[in-house]
Amino acid sequence: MGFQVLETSKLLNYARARSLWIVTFCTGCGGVELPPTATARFDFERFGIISTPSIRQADLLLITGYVTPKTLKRIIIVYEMMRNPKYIIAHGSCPVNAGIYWDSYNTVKKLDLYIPVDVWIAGCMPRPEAILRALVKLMKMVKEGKALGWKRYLENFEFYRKNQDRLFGKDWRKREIEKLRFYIHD
Amino acid sequence: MIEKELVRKIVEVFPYVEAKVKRVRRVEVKVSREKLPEVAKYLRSIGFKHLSAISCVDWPQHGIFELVYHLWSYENRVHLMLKTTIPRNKPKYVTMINIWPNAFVYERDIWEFFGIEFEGHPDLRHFILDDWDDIPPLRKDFNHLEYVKRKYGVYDPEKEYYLR
Repeated sequence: MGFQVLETSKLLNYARARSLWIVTFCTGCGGVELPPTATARFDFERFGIISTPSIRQADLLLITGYVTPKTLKRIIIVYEMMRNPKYIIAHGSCPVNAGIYWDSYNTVKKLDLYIPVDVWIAGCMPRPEAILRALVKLMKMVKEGKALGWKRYLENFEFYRKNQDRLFGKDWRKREIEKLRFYIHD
Repeated sequence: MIEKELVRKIVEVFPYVEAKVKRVRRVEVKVSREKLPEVAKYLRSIGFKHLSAISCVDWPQHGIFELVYHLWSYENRVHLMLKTTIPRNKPKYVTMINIWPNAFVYERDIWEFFGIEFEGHPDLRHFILDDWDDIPPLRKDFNHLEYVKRKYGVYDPEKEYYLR
Protein backbone atom coordinates (compact mmCIF):
# COMPACT_ATOMS: atom_id res chain seq x y z
CA MET A 1 0.00 0.00 0.00
CA GLY A 2 2.85 2.31 0.86
CA PHE A 3 4.29 2.14 -2.63
CA GLN A 4 0.96 2.91 -4.24
CA VAL A 5 0.63 6.10 -2.26
CA LEU A 6 4.21 7.02 -3.12
CA GLU A 7 3.57 6.50 -6.81
CA THR A 8 0.13 7.85 -7.37
CA SER A 9 -0.32 10.81 -5.10
CA LYS A 10 -0.28 13.85 -7.38
CA LEU A 11 0.19 16.25 -4.53
CA LEU A 12 3.22 14.38 -3.22
CA ASN A 13 4.71 14.18 -6.71
CA TYR A 14 4.21 17.91 -7.21
CA ALA A 15 5.92 18.62 -3.92
CA ARG A 16 8.79 16.26 -4.65
CA ALA A 17 9.44 17.74 -8.07
CA ARG A 18 9.93 21.15 -6.46
CA SER A 19 12.34 20.06 -3.75
CA LEU A 20 14.95 17.73 -5.20
CA TRP A 21 17.86 17.61 -2.80
CA ILE A 22 21.17 16.38 -4.12
CA VAL A 23 23.63 14.18 -2.27
CA THR A 24 26.98 15.95 -2.15
CA PHE A 25 28.88 13.19 -3.91
CA CYS A 26 31.03 13.53 -6.99
CA THR A 27 32.88 10.99 -9.05
CA GLY A 28 35.23 11.67 -11.94
CA CYS A 29 35.54 15.00 -13.68
CA GLY A 30 31.88 16.06 -13.81
CA GLY A 31 31.98 17.49 -10.32
CA VAL A 32 33.66 20.54 -11.83
CA GLU A 33 30.46 21.44 -13.67
CA LEU A 34 28.37 21.46 -10.52
CA PRO A 35 29.66 24.65 -8.82
CA PRO A 36 28.68 26.82 -11.82
CA THR A 37 25.33 25.02 -11.95
CA ALA A 38 24.78 25.74 -8.28
CA THR A 39 26.04 29.31 -8.12
CA ALA A 40 24.79 32.65 -9.40
CA ARG A 41 25.05 32.19 -13.15
CA PHE A 42 22.91 29.08 -13.58
CA ASP A 43 21.59 28.81 -10.04
CA PHE A 44 19.69 25.55 -9.70
CA GLU A 45 18.23 26.66 -6.39
CA ARG A 46 15.49 28.50 -8.25
CA PHE A 47 14.08 25.06 -9.03
CA GLY A 48 14.15 24.12 -5.36
CA ILE A 49 17.31 22.04 -5.79
CA ILE A 50 20.03 22.26 -3.17
CA SER A 51 22.83 19.97 -2.19
CA THR A 52 22.74 18.37 1.21
CA PRO A 53 25.42 16.52 3.13
CA SER A 54 22.85 14.20 4.65
CA ILE A 55 22.12 11.07 2.63
CA ARG A 56 18.91 10.36 4.50
CA GLN A 57 17.34 13.67 3.50
CA ALA A 58 18.40 13.59 -0.15
CA ASP A 59 16.33 12.57 -3.17
CA LEU A 60 18.78 12.82 -6.01
CA LEU A 61 22.16 11.20 -6.62
CA LEU A 62 24.33 12.60 -9.39
CA ILE A 63 26.89 10.29 -10.95
CA THR A 64 29.24 12.86 -12.42
CA GLY A 65 31.72 10.87 -14.45
CA TYR A 66 33.52 7.59 -14.80
CA VAL A 67 32.84 5.02 -12.10
CA THR A 68 35.50 2.65 -10.83
CA PRO A 69 34.50 -0.56 -9.04
CA LYS A 70 35.70 0.94 -5.76
CA THR A 71 33.52 4.01 -6.27
CA LEU A 72 30.61 1.89 -7.41
CA LYS A 73 30.59 0.13 -4.05
CA ARG A 74 30.25 3.49 -2.32
CA ILE A 75 27.59 4.59 -4.80
CA ILE A 76 25.55 1.46 -4.12
CA ILE A 77 25.90 1.90 -0.36
CA VAL A 78 24.88 5.57 -0.60
CA TYR A 79 21.99 4.74 -2.93
CA GLU A 80 20.65 2.06 -0.62
CA MET A 81 20.91 4.41 2.36
CA MET A 82 18.75 7.03 0.63
CA ARG A 83 15.05 6.87 1.33
CA ASN A 84 12.42 6.12 -1.30
CA PRO A 85 11.61 7.71 -3.66
CA LYS A 86 15.10 8.42 -4.97
CA TYR A 87 16.44 9.35 -8.37
CA ILE A 88 19.73 9.09 -10.23
CA ILE A 89 21.09 11.30 -13.01
CA ALA A 90 24.17 10.04 -14.84
CA HIS A 91 26.41 12.70 -16.37
CA GLY A 92 28.49 12.31 -19.47
CA SER A 93 29.33 9.38 -21.68
CA CYS A 94 31.37 7.49 -19.09
CA PRO A 95 28.44 6.04 -17.10
CA VAL A 96 26.65 5.23 -20.37
CA ASN A 97 29.31 2.97 -21.90
CA ALA A 98 32.58 4.05 -20.24
CA GLY A 99 33.29 6.56 -23.04
CA ILE A 100 37.03 6.92 -23.62
CA TYR A 101 37.67 4.34 -20.92
CA TRP A 102 35.99 1.58 -22.93
CA ASP A 103 39.04 -0.70 -22.63
CA SER A 104 40.14 0.36 -19.16
CA TYR A 105 40.62 -2.35 -16.57
CA ASN A 106 39.21 -0.26 -13.75
CA THR A 107 36.12 1.46 -15.13
CA VAL A 108 32.59 0.14 -14.90
CA LYS A 109 31.25 -0.08 -18.43
CA LYS A 110 27.50 0.12 -18.11
CA LEU A 111 26.20 1.70 -14.96
CA ASP A 112 22.63 0.66 -15.63
CA LEU A 113 23.46 -2.96 -14.83
CA TYR A 114 24.30 -2.13 -11.22
CA ILE A 115 21.95 0.69 -10.22
CA PRO A 116 18.86 2.12 -11.96
CA VAL A 117 19.38 5.46 -13.73
CA ASP A 118 16.48 7.81 -14.43
CA VAL A 119 18.01 10.43 -16.71
CA TRP A 120 21.17 10.22 -18.81
CA ILE A 121 23.12 13.21 -20.08
CA ALA A 122 25.30 12.51 -23.10
CA GLY A 123 28.49 14.42 -23.83
CA CYS A 124 31.98 14.81 -22.49
CA MET A 125 31.64 16.97 -20.43
CA PRO A 126 28.02 18.16 -20.43
CA ARG A 127 27.82 21.90 -19.86
CA PRO A 128 25.77 23.36 -17.02
CA GLU A 129 22.96 24.05 -19.50
CA ALA A 130 22.75 20.33 -20.24
CA ILE A 131 22.70 19.51 -16.54
CA LEU A 132 19.92 22.04 -15.99
CA ARG A 133 17.97 20.55 -18.84
CA ALA A 134 18.33 17.09 -17.31
CA LEU A 135 17.22 18.41 -13.95
CA VAL A 136 14.17 20.07 -15.47
CA LYS A 137 13.38 16.87 -17.33
CA LEU A 138 13.68 14.89 -14.13
CA MET A 139 11.36 17.38 -12.40
CA LYS A 140 8.82 16.84 -15.15
CA MET A 141 9.17 13.06 -14.85
CA VAL A 142 8.76 13.19 -11.09
CA LYS A 143 5.70 15.38 -11.43
CA GLU A 144 4.12 12.92 -13.85
CA GLY A 145 5.14 9.98 -11.69
CA LYS A 146 7.41 8.51 -14.36
CA ALA A 147 10.75 8.56 -12.57
CA LEU A 148 10.48 5.09 -11.09
CA GLY A 149 14.10 3.97 -10.91
CA TRP A 150 13.79 3.29 -7.17
CA LYS A 151 10.85 1.00 -7.85
CA ARG A 152 12.76 -0.80 -10.60
CA TYR A 153 15.55 -1.37 -8.11
CA LEU A 154 13.18 -2.95 -5.59
CA GLU A 155 11.40 -5.10 -8.15
CA ASN A 156 14.53 -6.32 -9.93
CA PHE A 157 16.74 -6.43 -6.88
CA GLU A 158 17.85 -9.97 -7.70
CA PHE A 159 19.09 -8.84 -11.13
CA TYR A 160 21.04 -5.87 -9.77
CA ARG A 161 22.37 -7.92 -6.88
CA LYS A 162 23.55 -10.64 -9.26
CA ASN A 163 25.45 -8.12 -11.41
CA GLN A 164 26.99 -6.46 -8.36
CA ASP A 165 28.09 -9.80 -6.93
CA ARG A 166 29.52 -10.79 -10.29
CA LEU A 167 31.72 -7.70 -10.35
CA PHE A 168 32.76 -7.52 -6.70
CA GLY A 169 32.55 -11.13 -5.64
CA LYS A 170 30.07 -12.50 -3.13
CA ASP A 171 29.96 -11.11 0.43
CA TRP A 172 31.37 -7.78 -0.74
CA ARG A 173 28.98 -5.96 1.60
CA LYS A 174 30.38 -7.83 4.60
CA ARG A 175 33.92 -7.07 3.50
CA GLU A 176 33.12 -3.36 3.14
CA ILE A 177 31.67 -3.30 6.65
CA GLU A 178 34.87 -4.88 7.97
CA LYS A 179 36.89 -2.12 6.29
CA LEU A 180 34.67 0.61 7.74
CA ARG A 181 34.68 -0.86 11.23
CA PHE A 182 37.84 1.09 12.03
CA TYR A 183 35.96 4.37 11.63
CA ILE A 184 32.91 3.41 13.70
CA HIS A 185 33.05 4.59 17.29
CA ASP A 186 30.62 3.26 19.85
CA MET B 1 77.89 24.17 -13.68
CA ILE B 2 76.62 22.72 -10.46
CA GLU B 3 75.49 19.54 -12.24
CA LYS B 4 79.03 18.64 -13.33
CA GLU B 5 80.33 19.25 -9.82
CA LEU B 6 77.63 17.01 -8.42
CA VAL B 7 78.46 14.22 -10.83
CA ARG B 8 82.16 14.49 -10.04
CA LYS B 9 81.42 14.39 -6.32
CA ILE B 10 79.19 11.34 -6.60
CA VAL B 11 81.64 9.42 -8.79
CA GLU B 12 84.48 10.26 -6.41
CA VAL B 13 82.64 8.75 -3.45
CA PHE B 14 81.14 5.82 -5.34
CA PRO B 15 83.39 4.83 -8.26
CA TYR B 16 81.03 2.08 -9.37
CA VAL B 17 78.06 4.33 -10.28
CA GLU B 18 77.27 5.55 -13.78
CA ALA B 19 76.51 9.25 -13.46
CA LYS B 20 76.01 11.80 -16.20
CA VAL B 21 74.45 15.19 -16.87
CA LYS B 22 71.34 14.87 -19.02
CA ARG B 23 70.81 18.61 -19.48
CA VAL B 24 70.55 21.72 -17.35
CA ARG B 25 69.39 20.72 -13.85
CA ARG B 26 68.93 17.07 -14.80
CA VAL B 27 71.36 14.43 -13.52
CA GLU B 28 71.08 10.71 -14.07
CA VAL B 29 72.71 8.17 -11.77
CA LYS B 30 72.64 4.44 -12.49
CA VAL B 31 73.47 2.00 -9.71
CA SER B 32 73.25 -1.74 -9.23
CA ARG B 33 70.46 -2.83 -6.93
CA GLU B 34 72.76 -3.97 -4.09
CA LYS B 35 74.51 -0.60 -3.88
CA LEU B 36 71.46 1.66 -4.21
CA PRO B 37 70.61 2.06 -0.47
CA GLU B 38 74.02 3.44 0.44
CA VAL B 39 74.05 5.80 -2.56
CA ALA B 40 70.56 6.94 -1.61
CA LYS B 41 71.65 7.60 1.97
CA TYR B 42 74.60 9.66 0.73
CA LEU B 43 72.39 11.65 -1.68
CA ARG B 44 69.98 12.36 1.16
CA SER B 45 72.88 13.70 3.22
CA ILE B 46 74.11 16.08 0.48
CA GLY B 47 70.73 17.76 0.08
CA PHE B 48 68.42 15.53 -1.94
CA LYS B 49 65.75 15.65 0.73
CA HIS B 50 62.73 15.58 -1.52
CA LEU B 51 61.61 12.29 -3.08
CA SER B 52 59.24 13.53 -5.79
CA ALA B 53 58.19 10.12 -7.04
CA ILE B 54 59.25 6.57 -7.63
CA SER B 55 58.45 5.38 -11.10
CA CYS B 56 58.71 1.89 -12.47
CA VAL B 57 59.30 0.81 -16.06
CA ASP B 58 58.57 -2.68 -17.28
CA TRP B 59 61.00 -4.09 -19.88
CA PRO B 60 59.72 -7.60 -20.70
CA GLN B 61 62.18 -8.01 -23.62
CA HIS B 62 65.12 -7.56 -21.21
CA GLY B 63 63.42 -9.33 -18.30
CA ILE B 64 63.81 -6.41 -15.89
CA PHE B 65 61.89 -3.77 -14.01
CA GLU B 66 63.57 -0.39 -13.90
CA LEU B 67 62.99 1.63 -10.74
CA VAL B 68 63.58 5.39 -10.96
CA TYR B 69 63.81 7.49 -7.82
CA HIS B 70 63.15 11.12 -8.68
CA LEU B 71 65.00 13.31 -6.21
CA TRP B 72 65.03 17.07 -5.89
CA SER B 73 67.57 19.21 -4.09
CA TYR B 74 66.32 22.54 -2.80
CA GLU B 75 69.86 23.84 -2.29
CA ASN B 76 71.29 23.02 -5.72
CA ARG B 77 67.98 23.06 -7.62
CA VAL B 78 68.82 19.82 -9.36
CA HIS B 79 66.52 16.98 -10.32
CA LEU B 80 68.38 13.70 -9.92
CA MET B 81 67.14 10.42 -11.35
CA LEU B 82 68.47 7.48 -9.39
CA LYS B 83 67.99 4.38 -11.52
CA THR B 84 68.33 0.71 -10.81
CA THR B 85 67.02 -2.53 -12.26
CA ILE B 86 65.56 -5.61 -10.65
CA PRO B 87 64.86 -8.97 -12.29
CA ARG B 88 61.37 -9.48 -13.60
CA ASN B 89 60.96 -13.07 -12.45
CA LYS B 90 61.89 -12.21 -8.84
CA PRO B 91 60.29 -8.81 -8.22
CA LYS B 92 61.56 -7.95 -4.75
CA TYR B 93 63.37 -4.94 -3.43
CA VAL B 94 64.12 -3.15 -0.17
CA THR B 95 62.05 -0.26 1.12
CA MET B 96 63.35 3.32 1.26
CA ILE B 97 61.03 4.44 4.06
CA ASN B 98 63.93 4.90 6.48
CA ILE B 99 65.56 7.41 4.09
CA TRP B 100 62.49 9.19 2.66
CA PRO B 101 59.33 8.50 4.72
CA ASN B 102 57.03 9.48 1.86
CA ALA B 103 58.24 6.44 -0.08
CA PHE B 104 55.46 4.66 1.83
CA VAL B 105 52.80 5.73 -0.66
CA TYR B 106 54.89 5.32 -3.81
CA GLU B 107 56.02 1.82 -2.89
CA ARG B 108 52.48 0.78 -2.09
CA ASP B 109 51.42 2.15 -5.47
CA ILE B 110 54.19 0.28 -7.32
CA TRP B 111 53.37 -2.90 -5.45
CA GLU B 112 49.79 -2.55 -6.58
CA PHE B 113 50.43 -1.78 -10.23
CA PHE B 114 53.62 -3.77 -10.93
CA GLY B 115 53.62 -6.42 -8.21
CA ILE B 116 57.04 -5.51 -6.80
CA GLU B 117 57.32 -6.42 -3.14
CA PHE B 118 59.25 -4.02 -0.93
CA GLU B 119 60.80 -5.80 2.02
CA GLY B 120 60.37 -3.81 5.20
CA HIS B 121 57.29 -1.95 4.01
CA PRO B 122 54.80 -2.14 6.88
CA ASP B 123 51.54 -1.93 4.99
CA LEU B 124 51.30 -3.33 1.45
CA ARG B 125 47.56 -3.17 0.85
CA HIS B 126 45.49 -2.45 -2.24
CA PHE B 127 45.08 1.25 -2.75
CA ILE B 128 42.78 1.71 -5.73
CA LEU B 129 42.14 -1.79 -7.07
CA ASP B 130 39.90 -3.48 -4.53
CA ASP B 131 39.57 -7.24 -4.96
CA TRP B 132 42.03 -7.41 -7.85
CA ASP B 133 42.11 -10.90 -9.33
CA ASP B 134 44.65 -10.83 -12.16
CA ILE B 135 48.33 -10.02 -12.73
CA PRO B 136 49.16 -6.38 -11.86
CA PRO B 137 47.63 -4.18 -14.57
CA LEU B 138 50.59 -2.00 -15.61
CA ARG B 139 52.79 -4.94 -16.56
CA LYS B 140 53.25 -5.13 -20.30
CA ASP B 141 51.95 -8.68 -20.59
CA PHE B 142 48.63 -7.77 -19.00
CA ASN B 143 45.87 -8.12 -21.58
CA HIS B 144 43.44 -5.21 -21.12
CA LEU B 145 40.79 -6.29 -23.59
CA GLU B 146 40.60 -9.85 -22.38
CA TYR B 147 40.27 -8.69 -18.79
CA VAL B 148 37.57 -6.17 -19.71
CA LYS B 149 35.63 -8.83 -21.59
CA ARG B 150 35.87 -11.25 -18.71
CA LYS B 151 35.02 -8.78 -16.00
CA TYR B 152 32.56 -6.34 -17.54
CA GLY B 153 31.09 -8.16 -20.54
CA VAL B 154 31.63 -8.28 -24.27
CA TYR B 155 31.41 -5.27 -26.56
CA ASP B 156 29.00 -5.95 -29.41
CA PRO B 157 27.67 -2.87 -31.24
CA GLU B 158 25.32 -4.94 -33.42
CA LYS B 159 23.13 -6.07 -30.56
CA GLU B 160 23.22 -4.96 -26.95
CA TYR B 161 26.21 -2.92 -25.93
CA TYR B 162 27.50 -5.28 -23.29
CA LEU B 163 26.32 -8.86 -23.31
CA ARG B 164 27.00 -11.36 -20.61
